[in-house]
Amino acid sequence: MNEKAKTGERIKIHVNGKALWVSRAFSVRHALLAYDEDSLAEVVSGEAYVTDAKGDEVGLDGALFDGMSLFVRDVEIE
Amino acid sequence: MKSERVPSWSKRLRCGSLALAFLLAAVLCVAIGRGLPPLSDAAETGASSPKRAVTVLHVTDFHGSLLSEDVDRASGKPVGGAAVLAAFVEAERESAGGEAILLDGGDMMQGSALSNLTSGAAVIEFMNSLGVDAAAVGNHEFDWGVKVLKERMAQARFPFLCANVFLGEGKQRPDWAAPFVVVQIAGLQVGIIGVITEDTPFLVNPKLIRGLRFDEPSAIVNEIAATLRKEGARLIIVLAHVGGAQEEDGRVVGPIEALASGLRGVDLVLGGHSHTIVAGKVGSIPVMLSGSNGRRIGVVRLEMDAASGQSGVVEQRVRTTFAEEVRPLERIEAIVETFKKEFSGEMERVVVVASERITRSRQESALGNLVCDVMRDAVGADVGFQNSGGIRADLEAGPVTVQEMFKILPFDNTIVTMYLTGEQVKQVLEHGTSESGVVQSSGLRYSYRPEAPPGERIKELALEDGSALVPGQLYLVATNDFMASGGDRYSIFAEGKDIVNTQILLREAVVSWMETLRDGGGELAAPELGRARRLSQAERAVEETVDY
Repeated sequence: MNEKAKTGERIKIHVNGKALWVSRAFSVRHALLAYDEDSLAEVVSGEAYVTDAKGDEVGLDGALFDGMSLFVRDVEIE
Repeated sequence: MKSERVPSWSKRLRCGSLALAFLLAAVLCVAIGRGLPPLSDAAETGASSPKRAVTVLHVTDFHGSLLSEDVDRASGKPVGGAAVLAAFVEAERESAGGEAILLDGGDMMQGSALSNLTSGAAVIEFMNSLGVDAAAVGNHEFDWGVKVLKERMAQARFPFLCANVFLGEGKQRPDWAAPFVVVQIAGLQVGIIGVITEDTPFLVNPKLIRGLRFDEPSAIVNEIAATLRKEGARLIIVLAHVGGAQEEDGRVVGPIEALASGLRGVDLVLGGHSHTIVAGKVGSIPVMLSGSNGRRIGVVRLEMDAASGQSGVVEQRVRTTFAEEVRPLERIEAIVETFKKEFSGEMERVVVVASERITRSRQESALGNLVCDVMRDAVGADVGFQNSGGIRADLEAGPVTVQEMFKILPFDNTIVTMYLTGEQVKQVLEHGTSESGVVQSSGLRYSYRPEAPPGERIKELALEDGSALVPGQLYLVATNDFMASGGDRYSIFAEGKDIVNTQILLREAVVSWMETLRDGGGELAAPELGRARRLSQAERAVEETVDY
């Protein structure tokens, strides 16, 4: 890994408004783990899903970036 | 002849015979990205029309999602699958009067069993049939190494583009990295430049990208765009495996914003990597990200004034690929079915024969030791850690199949590497050792007092060769992505240095190790226990009198 890549290894993201510092090697799945393991379990089981600020669903394997905001929303059962 | 000077080869390939297509591809690939052939006015048709419309279709981060098994969580409706996505592409092409470019934003292969078991070949077959014109190289394209990537590139009837990868510290690109391609559509020469995220070194097994450098892309894009313009390209599209998102107020944020804001002479930026949806602008440049996994398709309709050379967006939207809205394409379903049959046989494949039963446990276990040893071996780490809960079944004596390995390691955990100090390694053990069990490990020997408070549980800690673990020294540690990101409250990994998610699936690493053992004529035996020794009551009484 070059020197430039080594700098700024951690990025600041927000999950449900909570600020978290995570490695830029990780994805949305790992951001949820860092936020709350139960939330990840709910998303994996289909009870909840992750969205961006606009409300569009974001995949668990999506890459994170500095300043990213994620939200965990319950699936509405009709 | 026009066909010799204008590499709008993907269009012609689709019209030609398969044998001719491969021949042309072989010849034309040499020209791609290594200098744009000179254009004449005659190369652009329809010169009398002042306005030209070009439709660009965009998919990204497909991740091997060939099967129709996904649901849109907000609506509960089925989405995606190769045959459904293909039907959306066909419908959009038709509404564009056939004058559409289809671009893929990278990370197309890795991510599903069907694709992984074929090292991405199933997806390339699909993308060929879909008529992709060009694809960006995503970070996951390196998951099986450059050798396999080159094989997939040879299989593909479209170019993979990557302008910001270089060899060593120099300015030379690897021979497989074409920086751009020019296609002809609606009588216009369209330059497409591919770039990859600068974060790639954090996201790929370092062994697989050794000697490669991933530079900040905007200056590189500007230079190529200027050259392409000079040579006659009328539209420039950047196909970036670079992430971002869109705020409620419409602002585009993240690395894709940083990239687009530094660009000049570019008409459209297509992103990916973050699996998000963006349909907005950065300055005057339209920017689009089209989700992931074949669940969305981006559609941009650009109009260009042939006289002034100015382009503008007349339509920009991201559609969700709801299955109920289309009829899945049968020819695509046939391709998927062929690979599914191959996959079902693959699950029954015997990877090794076990000479004895190898069990798991919350305490130190032979199966845990095996998994940790393989994890460590796969990345050349000093120490390996695996949570006991991630191993879900015992390994039975006799033939071991791929299916059985899915039962033992059902989670698609990847191997993560990082540097921890000896003190931090000890802290991992302090957290992972209690009355309810121990963390599985490799490379270490220690004794422990599970009833002691955290910080006082670990005794006699050494490396496997008996040498002392030095508190201030850095050790290369391998673990799975669950633990590395804080799962089971392992917060200490967040303090690691040079964290890399190698994207090596732990299960695949174990299967590969077993196959190597089998091919060498070996049978699988249980590794010895004795790495984590629980102190007896008598030993504990002695320990309590010793000041460490």
